[in-house]
Amino acid sequence: MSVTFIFDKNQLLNNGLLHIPSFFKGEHLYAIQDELLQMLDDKSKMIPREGSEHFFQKYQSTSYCFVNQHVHYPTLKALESNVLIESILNSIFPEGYQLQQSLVQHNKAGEGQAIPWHQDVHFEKVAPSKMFNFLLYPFDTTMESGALHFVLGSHKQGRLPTGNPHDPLSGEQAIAPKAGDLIIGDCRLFHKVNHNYSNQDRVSVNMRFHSSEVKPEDTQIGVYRNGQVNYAG
Amino acid sequence: MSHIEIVAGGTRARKDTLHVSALADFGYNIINDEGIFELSNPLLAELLGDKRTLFVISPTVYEIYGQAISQYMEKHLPAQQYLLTVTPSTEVNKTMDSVLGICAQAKAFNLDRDGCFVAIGGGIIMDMVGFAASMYRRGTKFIKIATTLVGQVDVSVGVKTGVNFMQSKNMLGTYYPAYATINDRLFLHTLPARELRCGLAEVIKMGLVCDANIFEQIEDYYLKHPKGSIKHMDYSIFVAAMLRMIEELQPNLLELELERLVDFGHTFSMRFETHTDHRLLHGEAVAIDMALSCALSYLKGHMSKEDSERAIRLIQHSDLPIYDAECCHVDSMQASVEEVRLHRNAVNLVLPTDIGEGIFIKEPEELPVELLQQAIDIVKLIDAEGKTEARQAELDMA
Repeated sequence: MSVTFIFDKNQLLNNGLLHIPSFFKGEHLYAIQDELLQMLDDKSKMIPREGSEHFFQKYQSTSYCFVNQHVHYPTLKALESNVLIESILNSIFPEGYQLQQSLVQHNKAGEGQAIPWHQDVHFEKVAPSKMFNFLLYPFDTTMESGALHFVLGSHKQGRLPTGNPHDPLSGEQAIAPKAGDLIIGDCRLFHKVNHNYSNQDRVSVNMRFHSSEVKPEDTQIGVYRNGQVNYAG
Repeated sequence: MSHIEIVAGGTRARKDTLHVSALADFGYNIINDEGIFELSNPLLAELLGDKRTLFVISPTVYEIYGQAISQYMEKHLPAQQYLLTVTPSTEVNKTMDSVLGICAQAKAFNLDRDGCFVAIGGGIIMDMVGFAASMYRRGTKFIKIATTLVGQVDVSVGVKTGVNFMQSKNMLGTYYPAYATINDRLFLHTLPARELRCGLAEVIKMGLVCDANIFEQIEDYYLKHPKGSIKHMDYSIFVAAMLRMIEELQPNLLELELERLVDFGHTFSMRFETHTDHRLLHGEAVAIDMALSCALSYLKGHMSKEDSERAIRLIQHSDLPIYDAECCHVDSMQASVEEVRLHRNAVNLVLPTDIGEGIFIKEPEELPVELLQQAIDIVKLIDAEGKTEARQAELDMA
């Protein structure tokens, strides 16, 4: 059984970002929401925050993270082999692909948490269009609660300009995805999430895939405006 | 099976003018069948024959029926003859970009002039695929397979295609008949309650301004089954709504005549949908519009108070909204009147008179601010009463 998902591949490759509204809806979306709420309630599944104080302070990236926890939740686990996502992956990675990791990020209402400007991979290690975030938004976001900020086309530019972590970038745009929206973004794209001082939680589900041509060990370095981090520790 | 064919006409030269006359047969069939993807059902396979075919399916339908559709096609057509594709199918995605995406997919698949698009999903998918088919190679055959009640009773019977544009619903589109339309009632069994209600809104619409019998049958169903599900209603009610719809549409398929009873519920609703960013589904917006129109009809003396309330209460009983605080204000209603006046050359607001009959309001001046406010107040009151009654019923049951 094979199927092709219709999407604008050229836009994705040229801009480094593609927004597909209402990719998930109805009962499927409700099941995703239910499981995510269970995950967020289970602190044992969250990455411990102790020992990361230096990272929070230097890079001002402060969301609660749940890494590779989909396996405990059937609907979330099934996302990784969702037939429509597979169709998109087959189109952008005809050479084959691999899931690097799944990541749920939670910016709690009113806590002012944020994710500063960054690139998920090092521009010298991974070429444009070789690694993508599949960001699913299970709940509505607003401009105040955690819109996604990005610079279109920046995935082809090389290093993120140096500076303070949250300082504005030339050409930046923002989008506030609605529940069920899917955003596919090149991991080299300059992107950030603003501080959430709203009364609304912000949750995103990220499945990060890379081309089979990319070595897994080359996918571990994230670049920030004031430095770079080896996520593998 | 007909598609668009030139059946008569000729050319004539007179002085400097060459005159061309061409009479086109615009006829099409709507087939009500059951189990169309059962392997033994030859209907779709026979319609497709050896045509190269691009299927465009909504994600939800693919999730539920993808396997059955795949198995059916594997049995009946060679693998290289067809391609199954999926595209999002919400009002937000109903854009020119999505239609161009479908056309791009058709080109990549080498869909030829004798090929065929098959749209499987709700009204949005059918509108988008129909639009793509009408443009692709200047017109390619397409088959509609409606899986929602709105799709079956409303979209599938007409010839309109289109997409939303600049916050206006269906601003871009064409009049283009399907090669065939197939309605399978079994799809309704997996349809969420909210989607079923939206379809019922269109059926109630036909009952209120075209056929009292439809209205009474729905009323009767709820009398016998106060908590009954729409999916258990007699399908013949929906077929009757299709028939009335076709009768209304057929003499005016290209909408040259802008007085259309089937526009009942479609004056204020378009703005309700777009200006709530589609928080309200189409059928929900239509339901609120119908309730307001019934109140207006009573206020203008066209409908008795009893019939007006009876109509609004049936909409309410169907669990459709009759009032929405964000939408129901005079500014929005007046703006809607202005918008449709431009579109229809007159307001042409349809108001029911008796159950099953309607009239047209032509001029904006016939809808003064005070009258609109009174209509809002009426539906707001009935809405509040209904919610109080529902709460009381819940307490009684507890």
